[in-house]
Amino acid sequence: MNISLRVGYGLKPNEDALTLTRALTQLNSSARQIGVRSRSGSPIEKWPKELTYSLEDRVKEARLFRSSREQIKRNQNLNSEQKMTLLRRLRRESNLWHFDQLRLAHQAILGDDPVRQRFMTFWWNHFSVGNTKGTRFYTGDLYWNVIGNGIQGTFAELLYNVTKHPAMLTYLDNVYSIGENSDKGVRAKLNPDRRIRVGLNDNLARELLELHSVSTSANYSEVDIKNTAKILSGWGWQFNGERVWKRLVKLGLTDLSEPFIDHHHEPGEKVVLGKTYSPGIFSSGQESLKELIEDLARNKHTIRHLSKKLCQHFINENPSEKDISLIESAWHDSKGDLRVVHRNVLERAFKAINQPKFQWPLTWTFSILRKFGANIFAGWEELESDPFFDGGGSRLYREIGQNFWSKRQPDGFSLKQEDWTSSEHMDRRMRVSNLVFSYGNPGISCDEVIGRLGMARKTRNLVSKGRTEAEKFTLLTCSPEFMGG
Amino acid sequence: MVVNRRHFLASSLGYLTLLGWPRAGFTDVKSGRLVVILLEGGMDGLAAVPPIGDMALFDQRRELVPKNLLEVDRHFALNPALKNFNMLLKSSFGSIVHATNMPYKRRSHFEGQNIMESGISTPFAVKTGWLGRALDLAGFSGESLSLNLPLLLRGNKGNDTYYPAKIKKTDGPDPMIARYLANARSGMVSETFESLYFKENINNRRARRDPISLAKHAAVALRKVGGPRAAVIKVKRFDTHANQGADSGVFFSRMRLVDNIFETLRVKLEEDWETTIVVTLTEFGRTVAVNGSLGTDHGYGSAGLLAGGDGFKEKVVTDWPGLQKIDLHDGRDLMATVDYRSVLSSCLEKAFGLPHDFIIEKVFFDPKISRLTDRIFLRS
Repeated sequence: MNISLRVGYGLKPNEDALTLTRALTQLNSSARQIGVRSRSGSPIEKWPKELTYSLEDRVKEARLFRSSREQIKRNQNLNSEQKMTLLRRLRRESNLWHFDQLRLAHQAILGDDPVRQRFMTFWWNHFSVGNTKGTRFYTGDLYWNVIGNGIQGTFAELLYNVTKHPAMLTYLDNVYSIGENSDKGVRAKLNPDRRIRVGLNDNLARELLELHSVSTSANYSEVDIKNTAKILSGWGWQFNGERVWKRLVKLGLTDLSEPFIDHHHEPGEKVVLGKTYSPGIFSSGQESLKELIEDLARNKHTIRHLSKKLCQHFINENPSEKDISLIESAWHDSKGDLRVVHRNVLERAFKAINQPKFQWPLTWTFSILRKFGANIFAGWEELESDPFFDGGGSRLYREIGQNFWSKRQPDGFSLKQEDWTSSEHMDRRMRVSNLVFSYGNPGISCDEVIGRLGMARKTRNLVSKGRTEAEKFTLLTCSPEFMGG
Repeated sequence: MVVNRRHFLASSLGYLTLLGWPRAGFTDVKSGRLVVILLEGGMDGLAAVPPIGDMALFDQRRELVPKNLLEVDRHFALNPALKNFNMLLKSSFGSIVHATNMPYKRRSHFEGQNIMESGISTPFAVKTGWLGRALDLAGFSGESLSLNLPLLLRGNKGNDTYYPAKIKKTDGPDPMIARYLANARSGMVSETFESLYFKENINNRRARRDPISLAKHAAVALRKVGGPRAAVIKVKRFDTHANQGADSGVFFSRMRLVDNIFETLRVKLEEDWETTIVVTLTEFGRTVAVNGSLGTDHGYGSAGLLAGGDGFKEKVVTDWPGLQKIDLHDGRDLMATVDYRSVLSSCLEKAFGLPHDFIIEKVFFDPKISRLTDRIFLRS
């Protein structure tokens, strides 16, 4: 398998072969925003300013969406059919994430930093945020800003910035978690007739330990989870709630970069994995989270868990002990500097060219388009009239079972081939291939791609069975070498 | 009707009718079918089947107990969403097993889901599922109504998936090309491409894939002579950490979906309903007490719903552990007093005619699993 498929999205028709030096340059480049105006148009270097939203804009959009939806639902002058029409229009017009979905595709197909994109999607998948309560509005910020910048820093910083991001705090219900002995908790106890609900919600705490950092191999207890939840209490609020927001504005508490409400935070000492986190007498307890996350980030179980996961993603589904320990020691030596860790993963990947490596349907789809100079995605000006996917590509992502904006579980998309092998999945591969050939205007032929990527004799033989260019196209794109298995 | 190449090839070889025929095994062709409804996220058994006879229920989670309960007996009631299932219970074609779970206490979704599908009490220990292994032994095939093939069904050849595509302007795979792609590989991927050679081409504009439509399709497939003998349907989003609801809300709407799946299967399976067992499966139950956001967190014991076949002995099968703090697992979760693998092995015994000892040894790899068949089913 060509290295450009393993760590990138393949080579564009006129792109130079991927060397380690070029891969490293891509990895460390700052993001260039690339897109197209229309499906037939040539690439542009920048997305229009009005489509690159700040986190504040995104949260505002989510709030607007929710309050408009409530207004329509509650309006007693409308019959149910009128309500349906209005709701449908609202959904079509509040389409901020549709641009995110397009941007993901454009950048993969046309961008000049595919290696960087691949590492970003690895982390985006590691910190999965499914769609719920407005998170589809925020998750693009998690990808382009938090992870996009985060992969140039340490894992501890990345983990901290992801954990306190509105998308994560909302998705794993931390926005509801209020300490029982916090100011609000005490108030609730003193006024039982007012029926104020307070209590911890351990959803984010549990996944922070199990999925995002140390994993179950660290053998933490329910008490560790509960104390982690206590440290996390007070972080976040219902970001898309208009009433909550108005109250917070009055209190001057709307800083989205540090969304912490100290009167929701459980006071006192908390012990997690044997270490005591105690806020000082005059402290709100806000800094305990950073302290905990720094400890989790350098825990040997975390390092092991993530080194293995990186190997599984870029080197081999069942990585050798040697590969894992190589990444582990780079992690230890660099104190979790992701630039060093990623460089080591890349160096190892360049040496593992002969090992098969299954590729996700989404990676595969983007790489077909990139390699053939084809495009089936709308340009940002034609989002409304997208012939295939009703805006942004969400339908395509959904069809191949890999929509990052869907409702889904926090463990992310599987890295294992067996989870992507079924008659329906294979049906989708052949359909997507067919769609790209018929409507994506491939710029070069199968023979040219085979030559450019130096594909194996077996693949050439397989492709030669096709009687037409269309058949050849499906045989090539669905070949073991192209799909990675 | 346009006969495409696939239909022609399939019918001329007569392969479709041969595909699901039993291989050498224990069972005869007349035996039944099994449908598993996967409830993903950890289904709250205390909300599905509230133990109203246990006063601690109201102390711990008053907000989550529905008002319009459907009474089952003095001790138990059904969530109002389970209207059709209540009819099944009343006619003794439905049953509940309560205070039960797979042998797993660590409260992780992903370990729990792996265990409920693999049937092995160590997470990630095997690459096949209990249903797949049982089908393999019985010589039948199974079908999952999903895009991917769940672990639950793996371990058996000839299994299929059904989840019709909705990509505009594309045709289904060309069978010859699929075969070339199969020949270029080996193992599971090869077999899967090969299966496209025979797969019926679905008109993707019309096909629907909401759980009820999928249940209808499952019923039709299960009724086919030589068709699959097991089907798997997944209902997601039972992970109700916040705003779980009672008489309405997330849990209610999820449960109503499950209720409608039972009803759809009952109606569409026609006379084959009598030889079909339908059973729910979830990774764990949820905490007894309501949490700070009107939801529940990960717990242990839950409830299983069973229907179909030729009748059940009791409405509720349980060794009720109680909801007093001292009775709870870790002081917070409903204890599981029945190993759900016993329930599943009874269902396999009933549906596929495999002997109990054989099932626990070859399917669950645990000779200590007790036999509950006589306690659950009217005729065993």
